[in-house]
Amino acid sequence: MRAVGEHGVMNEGSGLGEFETLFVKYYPRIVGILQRIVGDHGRAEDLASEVFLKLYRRPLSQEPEANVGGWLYRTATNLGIDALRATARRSRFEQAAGRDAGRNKAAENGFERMARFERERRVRTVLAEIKPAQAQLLLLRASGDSYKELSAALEIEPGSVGTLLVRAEAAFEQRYQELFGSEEDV
Amino acid sequence: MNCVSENSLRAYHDAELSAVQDAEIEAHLAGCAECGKRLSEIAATAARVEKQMVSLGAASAETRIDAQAALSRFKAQQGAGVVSMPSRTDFVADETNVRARDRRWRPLWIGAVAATILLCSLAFPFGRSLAQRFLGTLRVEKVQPVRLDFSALDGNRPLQEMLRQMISDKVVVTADEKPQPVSTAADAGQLAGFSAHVLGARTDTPKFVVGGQHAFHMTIDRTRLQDIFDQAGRADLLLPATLDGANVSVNVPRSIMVEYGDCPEAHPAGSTQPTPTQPHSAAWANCLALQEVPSPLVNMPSDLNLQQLAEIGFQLAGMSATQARSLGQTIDWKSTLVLPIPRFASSYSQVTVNGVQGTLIEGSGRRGPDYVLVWVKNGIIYGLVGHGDSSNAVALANSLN
Repeated sequence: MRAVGEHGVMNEGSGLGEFETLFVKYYPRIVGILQRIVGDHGRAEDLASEVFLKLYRRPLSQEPEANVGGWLYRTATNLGIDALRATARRSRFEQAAGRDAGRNKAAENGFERMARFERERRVRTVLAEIKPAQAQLLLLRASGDSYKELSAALEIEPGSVGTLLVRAEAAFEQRYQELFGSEEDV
Repeated sequence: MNCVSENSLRAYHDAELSAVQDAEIEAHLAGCAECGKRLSEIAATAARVEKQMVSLGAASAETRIDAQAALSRFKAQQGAGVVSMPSRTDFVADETNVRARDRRWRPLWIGAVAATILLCSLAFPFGRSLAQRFLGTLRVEKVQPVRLDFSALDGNRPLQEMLRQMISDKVVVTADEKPQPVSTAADAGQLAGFSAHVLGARTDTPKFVVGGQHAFHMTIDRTRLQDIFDQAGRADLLLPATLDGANVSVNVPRSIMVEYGDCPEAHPAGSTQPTPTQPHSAAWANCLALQEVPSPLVNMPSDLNLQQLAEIGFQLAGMSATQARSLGQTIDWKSTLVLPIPRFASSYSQVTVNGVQGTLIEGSGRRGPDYVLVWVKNGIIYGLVGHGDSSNAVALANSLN
């Protein structure tokens, strides 16, 4: 099996061993990204399983230059944003997010907790409404990706990342203000 | 130098440029107020959006995710057939199938079976007399909902077969009574051995069915069970030595089912259990069913560590080791009935019913929304099952008399 780089490459001859390596390498990050999107750890793990099932079924072994890491991040954010847009389920995610977050932040008082839930709800609502490519960019940037990693994951020109980030942030702020007013209203 | 592009200003702000590029931009900024102002605007917007995005959670949480355990679950979920990456010709883009499988109602028997074999009485209270080898179970006092995902078991036919065979070999059924329709609440109470309650808010006459007593006992074969786990891809779950040879017995007393509205046959010939949560037709739309059952009695060895077994059960049902440990520690295993919430249930919430805590679970079946409200009072476990709007479920339950 060949080495897997930062954004691993599935080469010809790949098998279960390489799939397992990729799974262990990327799973925590994929779950982390999805949890930020959907707000529920269990749901994030469900979606992460879908992502890796897609990887498992994808014939990457015949795509020697395939950027597996980028493909995983792109697929995960796509699935996450799709889930976020499924308004029929949204309330469940938010309730679950509230429960998860509440367990981790027992020191908060009730008012602080409510304010945080509301802040998270607003951010997810806006992410679901702006262009998916812009939401993906903001989510991966917030996850700590460098320009080089963003370029590889989202298949955008390295020289355009700065401009696209500026546009995505402007779109986020504009939609946020249209929906909820200024940030101070949270 | 011409004014700096937006792309470069943003990259400069994010320290994504080389030292030479940084120096060039700094030199330009020193003499260009317009670019300086634009940089300030970009930085301010980036800071505001970053603050919003950070509210969704920190990346540090990723380090607590157990990827190895998740991989084991993934392999178990896909079955023993995971041997290699499929070729292009094997590829089927079946996102639809994946999602459809996620949404459908899953056979819960496998979860019940696994829980029974593994834990048997983890859902029920622990005894008081530690001097005894076997302990009589005390009464359930409260309900704890837990969201579980049995998909790893559901999709694994070899595991199902092995568990089915083991149950067949090990479980000895000592009581398996059929349900009996009766005419009145008094008759139901007399036959069941406890007073039947009805919903005061309903003025129509209900039907009464007394559910039969069910009892069984078994001796747990730890080696065989561990083998099953290993073959199912869950070698990471190690069963404790104290489980080997443990004799466990379970006795579920007679129950009372009170049915309102047009309920289809809930206890067809040949069936041993009513199935109120799985409607057969739209005729269930105005059916409301109240089930009342005394706390089951469980005998088990005193040296079994219930929390440890529960954590194994939770992992078997899809949780990570960390999640299972965290949850196991929050539950009082001496008095709590653990209520598995399948992941396809839309939501659940804690409510107050007749002065005690209850759990309202709402789902969305193929024939519309349905709900079940569960609470425990005076040693009786109550379940109210309805279809459609759940907003009056608590009021109905509060009218119990």
